[in-house]
Amino acid sequence: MRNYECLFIVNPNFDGDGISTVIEKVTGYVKEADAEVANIQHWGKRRLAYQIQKQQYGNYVLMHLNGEAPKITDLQRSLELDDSVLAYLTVRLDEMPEFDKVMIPEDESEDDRRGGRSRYDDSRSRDRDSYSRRPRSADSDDEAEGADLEGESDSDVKEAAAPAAETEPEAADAPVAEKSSDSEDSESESESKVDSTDADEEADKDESDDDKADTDTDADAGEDVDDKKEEA
Amino acid sequence: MRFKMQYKRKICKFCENKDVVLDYKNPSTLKRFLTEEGKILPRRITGTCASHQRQLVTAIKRARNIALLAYASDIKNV
Repeated sequence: MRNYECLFIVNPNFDGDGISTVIEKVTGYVKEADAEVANIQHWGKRRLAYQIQKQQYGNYVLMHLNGEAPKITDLQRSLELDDSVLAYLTVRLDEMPEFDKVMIPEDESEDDRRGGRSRYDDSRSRDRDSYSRRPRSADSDDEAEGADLEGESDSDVKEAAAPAAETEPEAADAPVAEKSSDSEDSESESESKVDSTDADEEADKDESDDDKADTDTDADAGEDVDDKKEEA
Repeated sequence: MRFKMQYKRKICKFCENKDVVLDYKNPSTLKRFLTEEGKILPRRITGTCASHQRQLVTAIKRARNIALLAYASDIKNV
């Protein structure tokens, strides 16, 4: 006896009771194939990655079986001939999994109708991260400001962060910033700019450690000249 | 501003994190190793090790067979 896993898609037009009758029919096929059904898992209606028999949706059913190889081909044949089954996939398993731990995958297909948009989404989320990372130094200033001007705090997050900011030594600096809030904004912007340039310089230093020192110092000098030109 | 290539050694995602199950029934993890059109990304880009890349390819092809992943998507022509 060998362990098998059979995943098949039931036509969505067989809804509700129809699915249970189809599952009973398939278990009948399994019994005809002298195999035992160890586990049945119904995933529900999911969007298909591509149309099958002009159907955009399908009911996925996962079955774990114990059976013999020649008989399993009979099962596959009967699944092929059944009109209510859109597609099927039988896979031999080395070991039976623990059925409690067999996860039903999330149906993300509603979001990406064209498929394969996940990488695009990843890049977007990465951009969002970088945006959130950049003004973090400025955010801390804002929190301190929020502590002084409690009425003006817009979001709950800032309100929650405000008491923490009060205890920090930044609160001592904040009243100075409060006097000229307009100038403070420009300061924070300039700070962020300074931070970014510092980071670049640090990165260059790190690289210079790795690379040959001569070439890098020359290159850095060239960079400085370029920067001066840009400033001019 | 001059940009330098910063080389970072890629590590196989499946060797790094043993909890990630490489299975055809898990299309969300497989999608990270596909292009937007649904082509399988080469090992040199994803950094997957040889043995896991082989398992990955079989898993992707099974997922395509059972319509969990698309064989191809015409994202270029949209």
